[in-house]
Amino acid sequence: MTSAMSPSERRLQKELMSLIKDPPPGVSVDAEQAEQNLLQWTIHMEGATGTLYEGESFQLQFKFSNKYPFDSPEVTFVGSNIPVHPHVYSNGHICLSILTDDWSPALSVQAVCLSIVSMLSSCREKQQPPDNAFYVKTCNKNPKKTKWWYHDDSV
Amino acid sequence: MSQQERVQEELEALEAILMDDISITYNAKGCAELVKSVIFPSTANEVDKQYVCVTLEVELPQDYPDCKPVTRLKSPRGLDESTVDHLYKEIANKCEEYIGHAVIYELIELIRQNLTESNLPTCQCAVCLYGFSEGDSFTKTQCFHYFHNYCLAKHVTVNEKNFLEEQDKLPAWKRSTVGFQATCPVCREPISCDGTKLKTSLPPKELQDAQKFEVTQELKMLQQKMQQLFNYQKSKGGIIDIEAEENKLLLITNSEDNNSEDPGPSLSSSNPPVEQQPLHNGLQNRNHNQRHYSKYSNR
Ligand SMILES: [Zn+2]
Ligand SMILES: [Zn+2]
Repeated sequence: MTSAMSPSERRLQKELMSLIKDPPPGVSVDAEQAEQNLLQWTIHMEGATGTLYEGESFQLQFKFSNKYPFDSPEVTFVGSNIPVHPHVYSNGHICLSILTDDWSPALSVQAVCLSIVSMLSSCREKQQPPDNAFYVKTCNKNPKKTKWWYHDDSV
Repeated sequence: MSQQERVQEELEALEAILMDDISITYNAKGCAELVKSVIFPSTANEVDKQYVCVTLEVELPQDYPDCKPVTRLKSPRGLDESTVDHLYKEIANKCEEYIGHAVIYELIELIRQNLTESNLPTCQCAVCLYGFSEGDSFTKTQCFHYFHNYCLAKHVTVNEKNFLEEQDKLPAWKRSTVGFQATCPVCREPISCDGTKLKTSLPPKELQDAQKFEVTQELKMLQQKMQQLFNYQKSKGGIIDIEAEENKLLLITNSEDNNSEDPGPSLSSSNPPVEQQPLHNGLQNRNHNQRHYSKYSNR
């Protein structure tokens, strides 16, 4: 007995299919779990060869609301290995503008994965965000509730 | 009537019917060699409703019409490969059928009829990821991106709501004086759209008819195979270098970023987004600025 799918689930179903068939290198989705509940996915990600994260593997959790894709997914690193990176807090929250202000419904799980792979790959020094301890103590559980302020990397 | 007279008669008739829509090239001896016509669907001359077109080239061998002409389809717009292949098959059949007779007008009509039937973009809507079916109302933006009106309406509504909420939080002097501007979901160009018309649109047919799929054994196997392939490539040291791949795809518009220290352009907001036809979904993020944040407040 399957209840009728919402437009969000119909789109997620398409995305799941293409992520299974054509995943970005080092990225794989837990297809069975996602099939059980299209609104929550676990994605495995391997640190790319030739980067500081080579040999490491990570888990990302994607949570979708019934307003997806108009509302961005909630994306966090989960599990025992959270990458040490200036834009990743030790509770798994990621500060990446496409996950909040710069989200567009034309983006996708695949696009987010590629952005995160690229964010990790361009890192030159493994370092936690300078305000990690304070943020982790005070933040909301949902990273989308955090209002991030734009910060120019080059400064 | 001589063979050349028959050709001349056919071409005169074509020129009388199609006027400027046809061009004929003659060789040094004054014989017609090549006939060209850009063909649009019949939309009662509503040019803004013509979403597809193709150029037909007909090369006339000496013995035409007693032998088949050579036909080519050039510059197809809004048509995918399978549609063009299908057209070629129908053209071949028609030429076969008309050996000994004037066929050019028949070909033009055949193609026009096909275009009229498939006068729908054959790409997907970037919002719902489903295609365009007959009866769906959709919008072609000024930046040449296609969306179901239903999908675009939702996008614009959410954007406007977010905009107004953000404005509310700002002190009066910081508020925008120009008001809300809708943008394209794909390239973020400003778009003009009739909100009330959009909002009354029905959901697209393909989205409504979508069936629930199951992750079949076949799909699981495929996924495993992809994983093995990845591991194999990695063990051979031949894994795709994400950053190198990105450099191939990213058009560098700011040469200052390109010093030798830098292993590659970052996706920083100093590079203006470059308009690209999305090859597949994953590439779209390169059109978007990617920014990092290090300060925050609780919403
Ligand atoms: Zn759509
Ligand atoms: Zn656009």
